[in-house]
Amino acid sequence: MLKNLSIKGKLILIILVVTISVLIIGFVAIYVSFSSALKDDLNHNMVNTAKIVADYSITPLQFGDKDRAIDILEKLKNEPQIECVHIESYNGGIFAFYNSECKMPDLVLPNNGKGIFHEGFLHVVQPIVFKNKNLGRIYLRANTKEIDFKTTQIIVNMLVIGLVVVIVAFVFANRLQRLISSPVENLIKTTHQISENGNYSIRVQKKYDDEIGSLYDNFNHMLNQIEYRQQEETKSKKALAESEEKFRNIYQNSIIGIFQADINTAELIEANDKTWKMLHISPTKDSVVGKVLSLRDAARIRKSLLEKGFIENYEIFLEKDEKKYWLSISGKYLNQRNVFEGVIKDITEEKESFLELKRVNFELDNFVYHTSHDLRSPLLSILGLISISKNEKSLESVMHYFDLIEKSVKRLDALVINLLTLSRNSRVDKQKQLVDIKETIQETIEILNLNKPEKLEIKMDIKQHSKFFSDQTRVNIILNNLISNAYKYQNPSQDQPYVSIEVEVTDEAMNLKVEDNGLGISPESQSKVFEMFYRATDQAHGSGLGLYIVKNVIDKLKGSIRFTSAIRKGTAFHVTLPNHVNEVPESEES
Amino acid sequence: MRLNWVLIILFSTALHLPISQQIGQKVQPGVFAPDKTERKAYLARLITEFVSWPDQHVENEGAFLVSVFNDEDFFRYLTYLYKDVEIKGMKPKVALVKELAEINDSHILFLTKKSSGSIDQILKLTNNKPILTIGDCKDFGNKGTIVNFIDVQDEVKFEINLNSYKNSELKIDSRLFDVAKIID
Repeated sequence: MLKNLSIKGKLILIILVVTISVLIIGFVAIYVSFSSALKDDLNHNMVNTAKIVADYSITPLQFGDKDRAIDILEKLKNEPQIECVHIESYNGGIFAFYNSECKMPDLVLPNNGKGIFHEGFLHVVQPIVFKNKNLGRIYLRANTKEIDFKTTQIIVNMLVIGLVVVIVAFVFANRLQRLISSPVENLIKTTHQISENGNYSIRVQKKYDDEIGSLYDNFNHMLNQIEYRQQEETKSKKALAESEEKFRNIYQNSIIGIFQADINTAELIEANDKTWKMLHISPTKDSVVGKVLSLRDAARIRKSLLEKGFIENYEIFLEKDEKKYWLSISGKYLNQRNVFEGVIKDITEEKESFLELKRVNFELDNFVYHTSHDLRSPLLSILGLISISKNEKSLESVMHYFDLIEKSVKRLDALVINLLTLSRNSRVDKQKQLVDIKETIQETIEILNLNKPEKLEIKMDIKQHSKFFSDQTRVNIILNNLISNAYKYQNPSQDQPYVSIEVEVTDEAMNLKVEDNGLGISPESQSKVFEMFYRATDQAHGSGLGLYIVKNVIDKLKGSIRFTSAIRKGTAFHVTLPNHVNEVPESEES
Repeated sequence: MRLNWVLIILFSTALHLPISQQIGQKVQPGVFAPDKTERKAYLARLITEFVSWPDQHVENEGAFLVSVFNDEDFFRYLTYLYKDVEIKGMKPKVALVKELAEINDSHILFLTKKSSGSIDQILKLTNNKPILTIGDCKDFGNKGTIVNFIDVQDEVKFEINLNSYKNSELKIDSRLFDVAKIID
């Protein structure tokens, strides 16, 4: 109860308790002292009175003068506190008495002139001695009414004084306590403001240089420290947040996957988006990376981590939605947490590039071999014909050899043209030219008509809904190769051979279909027709580069090619090329 | 101790009993005195206890002399009464004097009615001297005895002549005045 009092209340209470305690102790001391003094005075007076009476009683006793004794006793009237007095003669008889005949109390009274207080009375016995002769004694009994009255009076006075002092003490305490409570309350008010608003820039205003002033200094110093630390903490938090955001951005936007996985359950504990994306699993559906990996890969990774504590560039292969992915995993084993912390990188492109490189290398080897062979073959043929011609005397035979040499040269020239076309396709990039597809087809047909079989019928169906923007040269190569192939591989047994060319141009694409009823492509060759130097039939006179070039050109134009074919029934090539009409400014369209 | 006992006995019985009964002895023939005389003798001895004589006077005399002028009965009675009593540390000597010349050495001089004829002469002789004159006659007080017994309502009282006292070299305890009739 007292502990929960306000400091103001406690100070007032302390002052009042001290004041009242001091008053009580003081008043008790005064009362005891005063009461004792009153008793001593009464005792002293009564003993003196008894002595005087005893002295004056000597002669009346000696001479038996009762009247004189009574005269002496009558003078005690001036002492109202005296209840009764009697003069005893030596034999115990009452010689004379005052007021009334006294009855002695039932106690042993000192016979030495000293009084004794008993039952509200002072009893004094004084011997009457004359010249060492004991003549009798005086017994005097006095009441203590005056003492009681005076002590009651002083008690009342003390109570009044005490009450006044307590009231004055309360008033002063109530005012003076502010010297202590006011600074403390001010401190409490300030701390309340600080805790409510979290504003550590507030300071308490010091007024005195006492202990509370020192407390204020220390409190302000503490606030300085807190404010400084708060500022530092804010800075640190901000830096941390920025760092965290930076890290998170790096973490989330990283081109590699970063993850933590449980070594035993193979469950991903934490992973950035890239990881989920690369592994093609969802954190909400299935976070067990082990299910994605093959059992062999999972076992190898786990073994490496447990034995070596790390794994580096372990390549895994995934196939999802008919697409192939290559991933590389590196990381280390956090033994204490039983966690595999690692990174995962999509190396599909690198892997494909590598495979492509391997393929290209192979093709290059193949190309060099075929090229050298195909280049040397007509040259050797020409050299042989020239050598024969030198010894030939018949002009007719020489002319025949010249025709054969011309054929070999043309074959060589055709090969070189194809090689140039291939080279140009890989270097030139000019895809946004206005292409007049109809005119281009007609020009191609006109050029090719020199070698057109007589019975071959050319059909054309061109539907142009939009202007066609693409690479004129590459479009020429595609049309030239596809139409020339249709010319070349006619079925001799076919009565009505034809080549049908259908084109439809839209805003999005140009769809080309070149169909014939020629020899067709055997099923076993169909997968190889786009390979370099592949010849589907020995009857062909081509270099084996035509469809390879077409495929390369279409790939370069980001188009597509497919075909359907049946032996001795014919082949139909379907080409789709993107139309760049929407990418060209209107001013250029014309 | 013995004196104390005597005084105690005297004190305790003085007011009521004849001295012969107080001391528990049978008074010898010829020593008998009427009650009042006995009382006066007793009072006379008590009075002496309140009176002081100059030391030089006592030393000069060598003894404490109690004289009875010309009254043999009183003399005998006093002799008996002072037999075992000490005054001023000395045993008093009771003497019966008949001549004026003999009174000069007295410390106490008892004057009864038998001295009436020569009272004035006696008092002239004792004036200005440390002699306690104790009279037992109605007019003696006025005439100049320092102490004189009187009858008041049939009781023995005494009076003190203040002038005579002042003219003497004696000192009387003031408390004695309380119970005496004072003659200015």
